[in-house]
This record gives sequence, C-alpha cells and structure tokens, in this order.
Amino acid sequence: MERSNPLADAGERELIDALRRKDMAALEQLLERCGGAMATLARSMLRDATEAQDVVEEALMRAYEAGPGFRGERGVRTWVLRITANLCRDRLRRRRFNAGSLDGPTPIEDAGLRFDPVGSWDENLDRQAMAERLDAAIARLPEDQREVTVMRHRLGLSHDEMCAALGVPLGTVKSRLARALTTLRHELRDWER
Amino acid sequence: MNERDDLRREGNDEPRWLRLAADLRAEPAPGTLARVRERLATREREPAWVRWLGRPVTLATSVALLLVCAWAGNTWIATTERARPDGATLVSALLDEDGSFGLGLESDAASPEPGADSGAVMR
Repeated sequence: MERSNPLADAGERELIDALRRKDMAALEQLLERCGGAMATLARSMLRDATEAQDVVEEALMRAYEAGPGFRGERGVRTWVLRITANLCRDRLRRRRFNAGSLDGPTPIEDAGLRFDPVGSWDENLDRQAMAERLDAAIARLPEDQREVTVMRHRLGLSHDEMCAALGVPLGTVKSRLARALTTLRHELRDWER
Repeated sequence: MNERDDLRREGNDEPRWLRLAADLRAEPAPGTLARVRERLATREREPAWVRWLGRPVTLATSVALLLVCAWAGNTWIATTERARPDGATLVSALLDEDGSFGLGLESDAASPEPGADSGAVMR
C-alpha cells in the first residue's frame, strides 16, 4: 500500500517550513509538485534525457541542502526552477568548454520529451508534427532565448516568475522573448500565411 | 534591435501556433526520489574535507592561497636581497665565478687536447 505524504495537502508556507527543517517528506512533495516542470525545463535545454535526469536529481539535492536557508519570498516552484536553470547553464557551459556542441536539435524522443496535447486544436493539421517542428525551432534558439521561451510557453510562467527564476530584470526577459519570437516567426513563416 | 523595440514587439499578439509549445512535456524518471535519497546519503557519508573539495568555493580559495604564497615569496626574496650588503642575489650565489653553476667543468682553453671520445679530428 502506498504511504501518503503528510504534506500532500500542505500549503506553500507549510512546505517551505518543512524544507527548512530538511524534512524528507518535503523533498517528496517538491518532486510531486515541481518535478514535471524541472524535467521539462532540463530536457528542453539540454536535449539529453540522461543528463537532464541527472540535473533534476542534483537540483533536488541542492534544494534539500539549501532548504534551511530558503526564505520563500518568491515561491518554491520559482526557486527550484532557478536551481534547475543554473545547473543546465553549467552543463551547457561545460559542453562548450569540452568542444562538444550540438550539430542540430535532437529529436524529442532523445530529449526525453513527450507529446501531450494541451487544449483544443480545431484545424485539420497534424498537431504532433507541428509541435515537433516548433520544438526543433525552439531548440535552435540561443540559450538565453530558449530558456525564456520554454519557461513562458511550455511551463506557463508569468513574467514576474521568470524574472525570479532567471535573476534578470523584466526588460531583459521581455527583450529575450521578443527576439525569440521574431526568430520563431521567421523559421516558421509558412505557418503565418 | 534595441530593448524598446523588443518591448513594443512583445506587446503584439503571440501567434496561435506558439501554444503548441506546451504540448511537449516531460516527467522525472521513476525512482527519482529513491536515487536522490541514496545520493544524499552517500554525500553525507563522505568526510567533511571531501565535501569541501567538491564546492566551487574551493577553487576561489586555492587561487587566493596561490596569490598569497606568490606575494609572500616575492616579499621574502626582496627582503633577503636588501639585507645582503654585497648585493649578491640568489642566482649569483648559485653561479660559480665563471658562470658555470659550479659544476667544475673546464673550458676549452684549459684543456687544449680533445678527449679520445670527443669526436674531434686529431692531427
């Protein structure tokens, strides 16, 4: 029988308090609530399922260890996504240092992403093929633009949440989003017609 | 493109196809929590100094120590040189009078006859 987590119905404040106490149940709850967003961000950024899984685990470990010092001003989700984003940046920097660059975006299966339609799509188009093409275009974006695009359009973060997660001003977030959108519009210009 | 242009562009409607970005999602692999627990336990079993070595601050500390050592060494050498009345330096103390590092090798002038195994042509 599956044990129930005492923090399953806990509010944000209770979860933060439990994290501060280094309560293992809080870590489990963190994975439950934010694991999907962490994995989606890591896999979209790194395009490598194994490396992304390692980043998710490392991020959870860091959250657990840094828990006692967490003030909780900007929310747990933003905090763990910030840790995940920083770890992804470290990995990408290391890849560049090791002269290992991606020739092109890897397919969504290799990246460990799963097609999971959200909302309705009333046109007679192959939604999955379009999502894959869009994903390939996102994967080709420069790192900083890819980061904000994934956070905004894949994870649904607000501008304020993105500012907190990335540690950059609002103007920078908006500027990166606008540049990313310009590039995506150009790459997928046949969809604009 | 400057930031003001970007902000104006951002205000425009986003294309409908951008919503497709949310269709691709991922979940952590099964057993993630167990592996995290295991890794945490392994980390906690490590001696404190090993954990300290794994921290990024270690690199900064090492660089700081290197700089302090270089500065201290330089200061010590400069002080030693000033304290020597004959102006001798560490290098000049190591060199012999003829600049041969005191290996006792004789110059060509001192031994005009080449050795049998020197490769020189004897007349």
